[in-house]
Amino acid sequence: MTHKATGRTSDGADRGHLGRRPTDRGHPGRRWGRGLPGRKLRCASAPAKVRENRAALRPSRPAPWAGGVLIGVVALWFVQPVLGEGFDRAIDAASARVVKLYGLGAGAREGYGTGIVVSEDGLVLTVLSLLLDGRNVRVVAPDGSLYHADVIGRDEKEQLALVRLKPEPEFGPDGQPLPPDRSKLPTFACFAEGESTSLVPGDWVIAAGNPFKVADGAEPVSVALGVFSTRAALDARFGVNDFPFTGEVLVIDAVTSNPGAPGSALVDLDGRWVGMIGRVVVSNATRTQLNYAMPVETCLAFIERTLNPHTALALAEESAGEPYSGIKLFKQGYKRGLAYVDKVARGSPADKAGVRSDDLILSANGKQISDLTDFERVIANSRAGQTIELVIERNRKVITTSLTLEEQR
Amino acid sequence: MRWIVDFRPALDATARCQGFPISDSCRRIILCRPPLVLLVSFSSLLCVGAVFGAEDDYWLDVQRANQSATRAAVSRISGSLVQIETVGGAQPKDARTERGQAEGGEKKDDDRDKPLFVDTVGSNFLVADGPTTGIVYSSDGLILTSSFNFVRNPVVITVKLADGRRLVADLVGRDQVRKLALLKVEADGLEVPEWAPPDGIVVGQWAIAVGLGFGGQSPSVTVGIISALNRMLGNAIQTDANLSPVNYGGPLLDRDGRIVGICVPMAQRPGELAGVEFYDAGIGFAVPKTRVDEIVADLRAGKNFYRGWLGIRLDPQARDDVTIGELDLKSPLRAAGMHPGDKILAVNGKTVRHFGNLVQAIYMIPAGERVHLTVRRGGEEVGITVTLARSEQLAQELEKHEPFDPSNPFPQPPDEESPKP
Repeated sequence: MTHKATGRTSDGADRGHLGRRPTDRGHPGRRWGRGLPGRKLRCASAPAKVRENRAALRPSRPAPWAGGVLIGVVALWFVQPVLGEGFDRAIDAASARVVKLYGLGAGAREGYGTGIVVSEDGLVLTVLSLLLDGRNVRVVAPDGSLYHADVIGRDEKEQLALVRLKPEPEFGPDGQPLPPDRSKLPTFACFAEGESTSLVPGDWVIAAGNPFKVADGAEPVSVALGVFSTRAALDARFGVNDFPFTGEVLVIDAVTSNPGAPGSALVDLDGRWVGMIGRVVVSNATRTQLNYAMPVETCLAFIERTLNPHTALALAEESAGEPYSGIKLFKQGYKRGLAYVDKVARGSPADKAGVRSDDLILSANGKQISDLTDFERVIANSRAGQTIELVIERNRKVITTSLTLEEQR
Repeated sequence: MRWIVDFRPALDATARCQGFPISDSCRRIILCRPPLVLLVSFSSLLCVGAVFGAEDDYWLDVQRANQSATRAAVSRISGSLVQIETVGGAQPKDARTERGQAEGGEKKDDDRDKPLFVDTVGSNFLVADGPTTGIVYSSDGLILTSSFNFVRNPVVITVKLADGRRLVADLVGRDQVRKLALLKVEADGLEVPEWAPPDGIVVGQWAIAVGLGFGGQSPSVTVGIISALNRMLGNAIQTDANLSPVNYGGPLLDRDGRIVGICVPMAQRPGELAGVEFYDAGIGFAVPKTRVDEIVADLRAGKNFYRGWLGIRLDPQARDDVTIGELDLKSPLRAAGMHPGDKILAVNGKTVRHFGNLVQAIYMIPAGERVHLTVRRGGEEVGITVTLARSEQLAQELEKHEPFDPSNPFPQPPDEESPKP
């Protein structure tokens, strides 16, 4: 949908670091210039011939009108097309809170990425990536200042990372070295909260980040316009491995599966933070690269866990015995066949649920079962006592039943 | 609510190469309406404060209205959307052949554990077995979808209706040219969606694609515009809304939630997966109602459509015309008395000058349909009518175009093959 991205790059970045609210106007004079509502632009243009004729009728008397023409030109300069078209607020909000990251890369090339400022004192949220693995993680703030940063939190499952900026920028926005006595960080514009649950499929979203490190220094980051497509549980691969995060993500239709884009801020039409673009993965459901964002709720929970590790530890203490269903699937050597039921143990949870041998399991808990390993994985990822919704095909009929897992004895 | 932001004036202007539309109207106003110019300048100076306050809200309201129009369109169609799930089957042939085998790579049966780099899709695209999308065609249980969703030749197909019912479906027929498929389920009283009138569809209008490829109840929504009409010899409408396996088989909607076409992968090259390489790239195709209606009657009767072949290879030496180099044993052209060295001059009245022209002229004509060719056969120009063949019908033995060499009466075939239309 980049075609509809109005092509406007944000000028929000260069006034963001003072912590203004997204609706603050940096240049009121220019804002006036955005002028009248867009209906003005809809004047139908006259056929070329008519215009030529009219022009030919009036070549001899430009002078009396010169002043008027001049004023008119000035006035029409102000009535230029409204390039923001209602997206300015979102673009300004997002790009003022997005930083460019640089660090370790593959080979001689430096790695690059994007991060989101999540606290006034310089906490930056981003995705886990190679660039954070080196000692020299550098962050370029929206105003172009360069900071060094420490990685203070990582989550291997969600593939998120939290980075803290260190004071003393080495270089100012003009590229000149700064005096070494600057030991305090400025107050950054940040996203402190957000909500993704209000999004409805079809709603506009804007992603701001630095894919392909197109922007450099104080240059505003790239913004892309798209719509929120749907909320879906992530079932994907990252390279040759399963992607560890399997929670819900926000699928969007702006293409963000590009190097450098993970870590971009995703905002809605009002500039509210709704998510962060996740690592480039291939969906198992479609075998295509996904354009998606981690919901802001997931991001905030990660930040909370990182900053207050003790409360997080207490929550993680829970365990249960091995789950047991009583279903033995039909296995043919090493091959991954369809999930046909071979035997059902008498008195087992499956027996109570009415599962019979020769049934074909189509889905479990809403997840499609393509082969028997899929089913085994669903059982292995469940707990004893949990109920599993099974959809079964038996003699060309689809049967739904629920099965309550027991503890393995 | 329709045409909230209308791209057509801008498209017209750029198409006529008259520059940016605003500069046109500016110039016209300045040249022809000087008093108006003065008025505008004064009023703009006076009202600028008031306008400043209103402008931002105006555009925000426009975009909010856009959002709610999209929501309304999606909710209008959702009663007719069905989710298709397939069980069993294997990767189709052309997912394995192309690059993987050409490079000597071995493909194992079990490709779920293989690395998936889909950067060069099409050559190495692995078909997922996730859920796909279909749309109710008639209230008595006909479901229209894309043949792409069945390239794995599944053992069982189930359809989940909008009301939650889940039924086993039969694959009635598939059209591998238009990439459509027709399913039948035992159900009645299904909600039949409304189609947009075909002649009301224009380039530049909003287009919304919906699909259930991520599972769940609520469809995945992508938005774009209609990019072109009458693509693929009139078989497709082009859109820049992101189409992918998520919404292949699903409908492309207009702003009112009426169906403009059925989303399918489509490309010139043969193969069931052709066109997937354009996924999410802003190049998508949807089969329009006129074409769907033509095909459905045949599909319903159990007819399948396959790509049509002439069964020839062109002479690589001939660059300026279409000279037949080799003919398959069962080539329909051979039956019409053609021999290597003969030339094809026109297809259905359209002059063909090279291989690309020839492919362009026949690639969307299914096997079994007749094509009128103007040919130069043995020195005389004649018109012939041939029936395109299925690739399976063409025996692979070839008759070659080579001057007869008495010293070598049985020449060996060369290694490389010229492209085969």
